[in-house]
Amino acid sequence: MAPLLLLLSLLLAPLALGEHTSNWAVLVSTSRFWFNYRHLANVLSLYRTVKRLGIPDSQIILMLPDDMACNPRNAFPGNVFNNADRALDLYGDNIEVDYRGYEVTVEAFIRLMTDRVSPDMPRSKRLLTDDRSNILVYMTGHGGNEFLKFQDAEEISAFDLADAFEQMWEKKRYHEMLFMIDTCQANTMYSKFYSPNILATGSSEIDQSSYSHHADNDVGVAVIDRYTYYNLEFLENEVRQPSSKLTMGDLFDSYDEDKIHSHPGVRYDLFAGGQTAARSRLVMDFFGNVQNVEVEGGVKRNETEWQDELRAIENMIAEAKKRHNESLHTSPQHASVIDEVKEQEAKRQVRREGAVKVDEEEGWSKQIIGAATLLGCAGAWLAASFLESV
Amino acid sequence: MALIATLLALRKDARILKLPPYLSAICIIVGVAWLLVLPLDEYSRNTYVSENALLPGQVHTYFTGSEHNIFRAYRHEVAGLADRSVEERTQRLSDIFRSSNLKVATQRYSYQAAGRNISNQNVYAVLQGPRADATEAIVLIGAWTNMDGQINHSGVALVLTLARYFKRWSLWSKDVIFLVSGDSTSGPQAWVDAYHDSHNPDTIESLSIKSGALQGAVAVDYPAGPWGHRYDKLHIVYDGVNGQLPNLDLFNTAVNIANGQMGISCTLQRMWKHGDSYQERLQTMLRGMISQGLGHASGPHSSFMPYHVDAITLQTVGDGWHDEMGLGRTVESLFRSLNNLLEHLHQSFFFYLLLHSKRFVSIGTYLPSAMLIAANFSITAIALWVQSGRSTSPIPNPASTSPPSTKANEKPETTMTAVKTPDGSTTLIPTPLLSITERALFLPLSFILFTHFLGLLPLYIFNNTPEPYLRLSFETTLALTTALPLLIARALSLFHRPTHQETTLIQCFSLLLLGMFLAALATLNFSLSFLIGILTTPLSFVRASRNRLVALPALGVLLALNPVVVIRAATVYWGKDVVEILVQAAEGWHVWGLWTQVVVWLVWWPSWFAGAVVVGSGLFA
Repeated sequence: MAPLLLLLSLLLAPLALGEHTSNWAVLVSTSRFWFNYRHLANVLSLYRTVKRLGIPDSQIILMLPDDMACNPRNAFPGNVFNNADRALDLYGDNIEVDYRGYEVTVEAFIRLMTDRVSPDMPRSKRLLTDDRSNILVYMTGHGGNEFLKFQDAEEISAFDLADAFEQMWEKKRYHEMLFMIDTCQANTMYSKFYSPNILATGSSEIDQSSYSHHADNDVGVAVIDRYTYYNLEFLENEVRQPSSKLTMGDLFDSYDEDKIHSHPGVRYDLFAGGQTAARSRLVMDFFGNVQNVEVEGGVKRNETEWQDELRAIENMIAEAKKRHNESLHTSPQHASVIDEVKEQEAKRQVRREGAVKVDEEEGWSKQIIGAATLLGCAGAWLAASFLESV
Repeated sequence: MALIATLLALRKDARILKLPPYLSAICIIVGVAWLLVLPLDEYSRNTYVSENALLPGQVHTYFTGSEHNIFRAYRHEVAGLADRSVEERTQRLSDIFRSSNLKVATQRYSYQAAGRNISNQNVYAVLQGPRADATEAIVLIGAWTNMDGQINHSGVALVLTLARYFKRWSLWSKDVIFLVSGDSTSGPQAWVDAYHDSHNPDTIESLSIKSGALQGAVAVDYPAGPWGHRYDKLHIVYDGVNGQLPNLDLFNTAVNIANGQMGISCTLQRMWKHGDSYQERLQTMLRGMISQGLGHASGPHSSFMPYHVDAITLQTVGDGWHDEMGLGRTVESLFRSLNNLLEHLHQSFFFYLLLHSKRFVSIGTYLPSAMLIAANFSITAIALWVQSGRSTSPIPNPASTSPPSTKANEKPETTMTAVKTPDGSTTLIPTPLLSITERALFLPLSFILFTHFLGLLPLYIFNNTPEPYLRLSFETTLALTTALPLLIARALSLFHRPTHQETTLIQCFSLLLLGMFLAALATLNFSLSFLIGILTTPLSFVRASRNRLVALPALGVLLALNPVVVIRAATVYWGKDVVEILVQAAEGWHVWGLWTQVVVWLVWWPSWFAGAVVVGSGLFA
């Protein structure tokens, strides 16, 4: 008995650690204009990293409010760099920007997160997650105490963000979420969160600015922010393989306040299992793509069962109605309501197609017909080959 | 209720009229003291670049090496054109621009001012931003001659070299216009007027090529000859016509780049040495105020300001070790910053006083100073109005607790009127207190109107007299304006006018207008308002007095502060020729749209004249 239990626990262990079956990333820059080059470079750097670690373009929502590569001021047309060495062109030829220019608004962002989108919204612009999806939300831009500015025109508050995430939780749109933000007073942005399973980290405390890391004197602007730079440094240097076993704790421990020039913060309390559980999550759980497959229940489902149940319920209602009518001589309203319900049920029956329970005994005659057809075909083939040989 | 009643009763108190002169004096003292504390650390601020987009000094500049050879070649080309005709010069400059693959156009212009004919030609080239949308442009100006009339050899050569160099960059988000104007004042004016279609097409040619809205302009003034000259500092000139200033961000960007990136120190307002002490700050500020108050064009950049195009002139001064390539790189970096702009410069201040290249006072801090000076006239005007409505006979105070003096006892008692109050009791009130004094408004109003119209005469004469007659007309005006108040006062006294009330009213209206004009002017041209305010302060305190001991010194002070005398004294103090000033003023009127003479002849002079007549009338009464 004991070896069996041991075997079972060994089998279940990976399931308990990585319960998610898909990884999504929402990468948002909220500022436009040439002098905010670094914000777009931040986001594109993260985009490149998560893509490298396996999240496909179809599962990355990239929001870029401006096009730095094609800005006339760009001395390197078509390129975006995140380092003055210009070794790596972030723009490349394989970038999928899902929301661009003036599409990047607070409304679009909240609609994306909560999936309150119009039916004609293309799939590439939707966050098609479920309760088994891990989401990385990365935001950068200009912010302040409990707000983040979108495009010089509007701002999203910490409360808006918290409510959107709560709605996502209620709608079972995520399993676990890593919220990462690089802006001034960034830590205030996650201070209002109240939904479970969110691990949040930000670049600076209240009343603290976040700083850029360095400028490229040929591009003429700062190319990356410090917090993002050091996050990337860890991700690029340490997390080299998708099989990496480094944990989020390792990432958070790598933050050096002397280098970042501000106090990055981490919020663990919403996470199930608190700090220990959150810190033990793998970096790959959020930044990579994990292909855990979950087979539904292992039990055969019967698609016609619900029809039987519905019929039983209808009978019960009819029974109840009869009893009611007998006692009260009730008005015909109830009947019409039930008719409506029936109509709707009928519609639903038409729409849904599924496996139907097949009667085993009826099958025999059909099998005989089938065998006869096969025999007939074989005979025709034999006859034809005989005639040909003659 | 009781408090209001007490306050209302106080209105009639004779003592209340003693207060305004003290109030006026306090306003003036505080106003002047306010200005004097501005250079202190507590009241001024360090400059900072407010516009995020500018990013000054964040780019590497590559204007070096072989560009230097090209610059030297162009400088010799320019030197070769020095004694050629305007046509030949224009032709050659056009060819050079054209050889850099730029679109070139020329513009002829001619102006008439003070009997002189100013005519010359502008050459300009447009570099169309390769990836820009041609809606905006920035201008680089090299005037053929600078403000001192020297040929701007190296400045023009630098513009030609930079045109060739800029053409090779693909990163311009705006068009760049290179302008070689015929001279430093009328040339840029003709060009910028024509650019905005507000020129007179009969005398000024329209522009055949244009670009987008102008976002900024930088002029280079570097008159070093064909063999070059190493300079010590950059003198940044920023005053526009009528005291308009460019956005402080442009000035700060230039200082930031020249000083921080290129290591060239910057100076302003001809302060060749500036140790950042209180005295030097104050001196810089006062020089700036005088320059702003005069409202003259101080360089090729000045003409751009009325069109809300921020502009500065970079002038090389002194002997040092900085060379033309340093200036070229400064301009390159400055243009890269301007190129980064996303919208018109608007973040920083348009109204400021600079104390040092890195220290300034903003309008909120300095404005009260001129406003207090202006308010002092309004206070006096109100006091005089109240006084003119009072009965001249003395009103005794029956309720006075102090024992009546023996002199009062000798005089007959004032008549009393019995008044019945609503509650039935009867009260005795001195009759003069109840009498209503009528104000005779006709003479004062027509006099003030006449005075202000009289100001149109010198305004017209000085703006339209040909140069040879300017000295004569100035000396005549000087003599006439000195004698006129006394003559008028004498003439009026023959008709036993004006009465005491009328002189009071003349002074009241004159000061009322002066106070209002100066307060309005303070928001537009602080310095001019302040300077005129200071020079007219005696008008608040002089009164028509028969006492010669009082009237004669007052008249003396007023005659010394006659606007014409002040102008004469100023020219002597600064060692300028008065004709030169007048010619420039006439040019300003006809070419730049200068308003200073309007303020002098229609605001300052009439108020001085009214004051002088008032004092004179006391003398002849």
